[in-house]
Amino acid sequence: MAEERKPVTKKEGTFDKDLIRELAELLSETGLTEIEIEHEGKRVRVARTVTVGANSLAVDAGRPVQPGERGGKEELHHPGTLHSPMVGTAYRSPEPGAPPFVEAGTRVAAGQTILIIEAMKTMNHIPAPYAGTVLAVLVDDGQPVEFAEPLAVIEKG
Amino acid sequence: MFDKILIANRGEIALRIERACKELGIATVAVHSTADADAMHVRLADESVCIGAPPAKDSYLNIPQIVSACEITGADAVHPGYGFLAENARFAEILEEHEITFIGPSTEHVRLMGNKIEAKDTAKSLGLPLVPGSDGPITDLAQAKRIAANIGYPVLVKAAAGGGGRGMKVAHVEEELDVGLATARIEAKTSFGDDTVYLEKYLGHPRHIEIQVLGDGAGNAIHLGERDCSLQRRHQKLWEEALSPALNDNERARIGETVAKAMRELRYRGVGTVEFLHEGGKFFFIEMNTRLQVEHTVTEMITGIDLVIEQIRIAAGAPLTLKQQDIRFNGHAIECRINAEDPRTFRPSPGKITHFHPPGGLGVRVDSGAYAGYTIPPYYDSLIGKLIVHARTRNECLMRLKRALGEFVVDGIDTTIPLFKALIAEPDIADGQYDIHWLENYLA
Repeated sequence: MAEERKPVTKKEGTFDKDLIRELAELLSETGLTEIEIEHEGKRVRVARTVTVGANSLAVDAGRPVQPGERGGKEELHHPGTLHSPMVGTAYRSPEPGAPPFVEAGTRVAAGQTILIIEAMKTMNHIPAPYAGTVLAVLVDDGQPVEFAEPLAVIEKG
Repeated sequence: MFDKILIANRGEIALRIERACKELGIATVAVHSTADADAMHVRLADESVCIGAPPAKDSYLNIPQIVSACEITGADAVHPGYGFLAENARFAEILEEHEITFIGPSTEHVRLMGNKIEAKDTAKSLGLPLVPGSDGPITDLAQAKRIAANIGYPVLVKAAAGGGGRGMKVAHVEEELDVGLATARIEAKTSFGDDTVYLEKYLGHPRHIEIQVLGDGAGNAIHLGERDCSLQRRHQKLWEEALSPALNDNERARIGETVAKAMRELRYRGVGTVEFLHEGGKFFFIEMNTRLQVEHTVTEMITGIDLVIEQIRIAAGAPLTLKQQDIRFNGHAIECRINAEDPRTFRPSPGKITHFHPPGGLGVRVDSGAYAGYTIPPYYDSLIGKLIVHARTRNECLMRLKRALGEFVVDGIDTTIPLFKALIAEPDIADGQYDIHWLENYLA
């Protein structure tokens, strides 16, 4: 269960399975997290999210990681991985168009906002648990997140 | 009709609801705790959202997480299943505030029937039969004797503040009433600090018979016959059948119509179950469950009506199109609850299922999320599946059940299957001669 590919939103109409398969392969090849195309009035979005449950960490430990894979072993099992405490929609900046709270390489203080998760019309600030350097932000702006989904990796120090 | 339903439950009932949604062409969203990431209800849903840590209060009972899961997936309705949030009026209200439909009755009815005293008052005003009693505290022996003579012996002296069997004394004849009153008072005083007692008709060997209802909230309501759920252990139903071996067609039609009329008057919406104790040809109201029940399957087998589909249609605002005369009872059905438990001690038996082979063939239905290699988590209830068998007569049904139980393989954990195999061989079970105490006596 460490990695899943699934459309987050179901679109109207029938799916072209081959097209989706092709897109999914492309996704793996390029290491992208999301591809969205529009063709003949149909929109197809293929996205992959990295889901980590408390149980799957151990099971996942021995799995080989593809080079360039998003949320690869290094990030997933990094002790500095910040997991989502709730279900909601992640926002990387305080308002649309504003610069993001943090990016890879940003030095953060303990308690500094890493991103916001909107849940039940409430904006919840997700703080850095300690001072350090952001190695990666694992979610996109506006991306739905599950409980325990990895959000970012922050190296202590 | 809804576009997407989020199922706020797990296990076999989540699967059951997914099946109905798929037949209606509605997309499904499963929610799950981190312990259930590999569960079948997650695998078979169109989408899934992890909503929290394994303890139910952090996931399946976590209202904000479930509402957020609706928001990120765009679900326009929630089916609560049974247990968890199915009878939580606050949950239904919060969903309403977020313009998400709660697939169930009105919040007012959920709340009303969730309160024991209000439920009884409502049942009484709707003309449902209650256990006859003193309707208030007993002040002296003369009054107690008068009331007891009126309702008929045996009578039960009960503490008003009571519970758990304390402060309860049975008087079989008038001579026992004096001592019964005194001891119940003392026990009530020491246990609850309140010696108020009241009198109720004592039922020595009742059956548990419940009536399935379906209403549209606009004043249309029908009944779908009864289920006999007398085989219980510690108030936990294990074996349910429809129709009851104890009722004839006239009795069935009479209690069914009494209940359907009450539901029309209440303007009840959705599926519901009115539970009774039944003794000496009389019914006594216990409570009403404002949700789908575990044992709804036996009613489906004998009526051919998919209760979950009906429930979803009505929640979407459709009127009740079924008429009472459309409901025909065809044959007999029995459900056995397959629990991950020791069949004698009922000690829970979580763990990994190494082999799983469900029975099949004509008239056999297995509702289960279990599979070979599945590990039953220790956090939730022990029900791992339901075996439902349908046949033309009760005798055929018993033979088919025996055959199906013989095919059923669940290795790696203990289950209740051996208990059911033993029950099939009991003459009382074959004859339908059992009451709510039968199973406990058998196991003692």
